[in-house]
Amino acid sequence: MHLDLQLITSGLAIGSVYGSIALGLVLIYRSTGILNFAQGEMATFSTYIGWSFVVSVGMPYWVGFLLAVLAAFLLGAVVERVAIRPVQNQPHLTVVIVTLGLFLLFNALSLKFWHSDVRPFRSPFPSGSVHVLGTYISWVSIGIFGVSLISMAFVGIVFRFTKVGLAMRAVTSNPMASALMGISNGRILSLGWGLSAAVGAIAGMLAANRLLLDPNMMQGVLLYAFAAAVIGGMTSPVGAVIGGLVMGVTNALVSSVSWIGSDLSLAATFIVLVLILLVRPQGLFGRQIEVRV
Amino acid sequence: MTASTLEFDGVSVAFGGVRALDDVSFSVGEREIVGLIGPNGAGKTTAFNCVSRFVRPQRGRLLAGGVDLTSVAPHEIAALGIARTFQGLELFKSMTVAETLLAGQHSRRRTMGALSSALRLPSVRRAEAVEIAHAREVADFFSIEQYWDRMATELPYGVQKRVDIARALVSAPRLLLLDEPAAGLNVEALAELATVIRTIRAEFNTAVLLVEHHVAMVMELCDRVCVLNFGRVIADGRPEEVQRDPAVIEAYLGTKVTDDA
Amino acid sequence: MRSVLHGHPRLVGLVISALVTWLLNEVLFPTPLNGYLVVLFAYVGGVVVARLSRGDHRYAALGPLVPLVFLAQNSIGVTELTQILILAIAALGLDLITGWTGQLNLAQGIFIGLGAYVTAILASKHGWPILLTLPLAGLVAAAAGLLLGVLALRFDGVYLAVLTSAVALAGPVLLLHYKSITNGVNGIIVNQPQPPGAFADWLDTDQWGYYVTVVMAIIAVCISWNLLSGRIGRALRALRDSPIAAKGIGVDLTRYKVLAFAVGSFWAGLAGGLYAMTIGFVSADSFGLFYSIQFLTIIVVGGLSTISGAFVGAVVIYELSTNVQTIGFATTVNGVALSIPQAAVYAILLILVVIFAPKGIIGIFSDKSDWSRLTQRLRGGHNRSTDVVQAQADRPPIVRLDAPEDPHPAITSY
Ligand SMILES: Nc1ncnc2c1ncn2[C@@H]1O[C@H](COP(=O)(O)OP(=O)(O)OP(=O)(O)O)[C@@H](O)[C@H]1O
Ligand SMILES: [Mg+2]
Repeated sequence: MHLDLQLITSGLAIGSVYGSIALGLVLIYRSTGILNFAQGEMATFSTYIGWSFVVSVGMPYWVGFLLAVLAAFLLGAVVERVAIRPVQNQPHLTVVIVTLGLFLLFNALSLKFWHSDVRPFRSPFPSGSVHVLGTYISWVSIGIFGVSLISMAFVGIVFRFTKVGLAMRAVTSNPMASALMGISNGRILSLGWGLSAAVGAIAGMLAANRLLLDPNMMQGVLLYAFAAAVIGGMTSPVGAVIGGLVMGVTNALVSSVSWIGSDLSLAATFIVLVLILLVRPQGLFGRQIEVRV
Repeated sequence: MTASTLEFDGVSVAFGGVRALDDVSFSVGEREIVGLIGPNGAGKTTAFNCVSRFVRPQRGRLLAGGVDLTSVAPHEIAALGIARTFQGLELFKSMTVAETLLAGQHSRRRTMGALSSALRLPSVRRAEAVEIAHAREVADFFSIEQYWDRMATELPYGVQKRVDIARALVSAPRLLLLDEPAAGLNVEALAELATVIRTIRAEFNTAVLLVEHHVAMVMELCDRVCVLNFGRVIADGRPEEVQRDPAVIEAYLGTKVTDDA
Repeated sequence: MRSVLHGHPRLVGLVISALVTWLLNEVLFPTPLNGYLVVLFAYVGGVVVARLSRGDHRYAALGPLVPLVFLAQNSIGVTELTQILILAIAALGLDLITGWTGQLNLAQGIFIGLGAYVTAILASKHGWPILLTLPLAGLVAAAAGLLLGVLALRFDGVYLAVLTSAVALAGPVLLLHYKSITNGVNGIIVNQPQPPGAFADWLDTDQWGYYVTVVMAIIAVCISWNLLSGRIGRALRALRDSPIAAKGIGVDLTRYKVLAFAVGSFWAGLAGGLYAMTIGFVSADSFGLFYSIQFLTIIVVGGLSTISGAFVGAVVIYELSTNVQTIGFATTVNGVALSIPQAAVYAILLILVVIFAPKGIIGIFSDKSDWSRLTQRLRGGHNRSTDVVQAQADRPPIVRLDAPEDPHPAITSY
């Protein structure tokens, strides 16, 4: 393993994609206690929508991009309303099954509408690279990293500083009290799902060029995003983003080790994940929640 | 002198800055009914949790029949003859009353016996039959036999409380820890409960450590009462002594009376 | 009455159920029925008989198995039934881990794969008789399951979901990577065993494989029943329902959780061995996350913590995933016909079942409340989210000792 700056920056770029998906997972987990297995597949589906706008319809890239993000937002909100809310108070396993069902559903829909072959989706960023600190960093990496960070920061600001964000946090910490205070839980939860889906869509579109857009594009990403969210203790948005970046860089470095290679890097990630959890079951940023008798 | 059924010897527990138990010493003798009282947050449940080994004391020793409990795993406590109930009912929601009373006897068989269970060998059937018979006796004692095949958590609250105590008692413990068994009961049920606890001792030869906010009931029922306040034992003695103790009146009974007024 | 404790298999019920099914199959319908329909008939028959005989219907779990013995004479449906039973055996194992013990396991598929590879490698590369490899397939998977179970002790809830889905995602990658053992993407071809001498005259290869599977399924059901109806089953449910109360009554959480993982994985490995034997081909990409999810859906759709649920779920999911066709709509958009692909129909049905019958199909049959909830909802639903707040707000701090008795005692089903 050699500390190649180029490797690290491309790791950071892909890591910001992991971080975005992880952020979506954490937002949903915080507000509903649900692990959304469909997070990646919804992002893929939204990316295809963006692809259709840009490539099939021929819209300018960023117009198609915005429309797709909007569509993703609506999709997230609708999914919450239609599929999640009816099982919200069911046992954990039931809810997991629903999100796994959504995982299968969106995977099937992507496959149905856009087929299994890889769709070329050009990156919106220039193809060259800049010369920084003695290495070349591609504009694509910088673009992916920058736009993801902006979108994640936006979510962070909404969550932290706006009334809506405050309401979202209130719903998490005490659904009953917030309902009694007149905060509409339902609408807030839909909003949370919408935001998560939108962040996922942004990540998907940015990464489509690098990850190659096919219906299974996000499945590998999902594991890294899980790992990132877990590093963040499932509840820390900042932790999830940092976790994503760590996973991205680690993965880039590990893949460059000759005897591991890219096909075993997934397994290596898994081992890292298990080790982290063994040492700190509550994640690196999470707090241990004790059950009192 | 025989080893007491349970002995707290200088036990201290702190949660961060909260001193839940502070150098607590008291004991429960054989077939004794001891009350453990104190205002909310005094550390009563924490004392139980030390015995159950859910909480590890930072200092002090806990002895049960001469065995140091701090070297015993939580699941081995039951086998030492100590059973408990929980402040919030912790009934098994997938079980009928019958199954609950069988589950309560888990500690009677010492080995897991996965293989003999898988084949349902005659030894397993015999053990099961003995346990069923015993469960029926206990159900009868608590007048819950008519709910035998009903889901425990779907029963009226008062019945659930009886099931909860029955689940503890069915393991034939030497010491029964009851955490606020009277909470939420109406007056008749309360009187009934007092009788039940007294009969438990008579029929099952069990010592009882009783945490309860119903002071009148505790005073009437218990041989001895130990009073906790902010994790410290402020009085320990016969009910009438404790009742007269100025520290108790100030810390506990005094506030209690004004609360109720 | 008191059947929880004194129950013995209601053999009469089973035999009647078998005969009814057989009659349906041979007499009423001139052409052989599809296997899954027969199994459903058998199950419903078993339930009806058990109900009529005033017993509980948990032994109807065996109902679906008995008539199958008759069925193999028509070779139609035999391969289908074999695969259903294999799914059910693995689902039974998963239910032990996830349903009974509450440990969410998304990696069951990998343990099936492990068992399949053990059988394939021993039989194809080392020439072992295939029947001998089956217990070994189970044991190897059980050993791996034991390891995962020990790891899982440190995890809870979503963390366990993450851990096991990571195993499910990383497992096939590892299997593909170590080509010298697994043949990589080429997979391993297994020669299906011929029926031994005495049977050779009247059974073909498929039928032999089918009977072997039936016997294994019966063994799995009997052992599961024995384990789960007794002290071990109670300990597992206790630790799932209330870990602290379970500790209080003396359940060693560690040992029982690990036991569940090991035994559950054993059934997965056995199912994997049967899979290799009856499909005749083993390749790593069959055992990924999608495959694992399938078993979770089987136990949830069938009914968690029920032995018969594993079988009913296996029938339904197998049926759904192999026979559901694309649903087309008459509408077209821009000249393109709108239609929903098969996998999506499967996913939607799955979600619907979970929403409307949270206790699974067994729950619809056995628990009145599921059914009435459903009809109530269909008649003119009510807003559930406010309901919950309501329910929490009016949870009584005061006790009603005189609460009316529920006239319909609940039935636990197995
Ligand atoms: N697991 C825990 N972590 C942190 N603090 C705890 C924990 N358990 C108890 N405490 C604290 O220790 C103190 C004693 O609590 P405990 O539950 O033992 O009181 P109690 O006497 O049973 O009160 P109550 O009558 O309300 O049941 C309280 O201040 C409580 O907040
Ligand atoms: Mg208490």
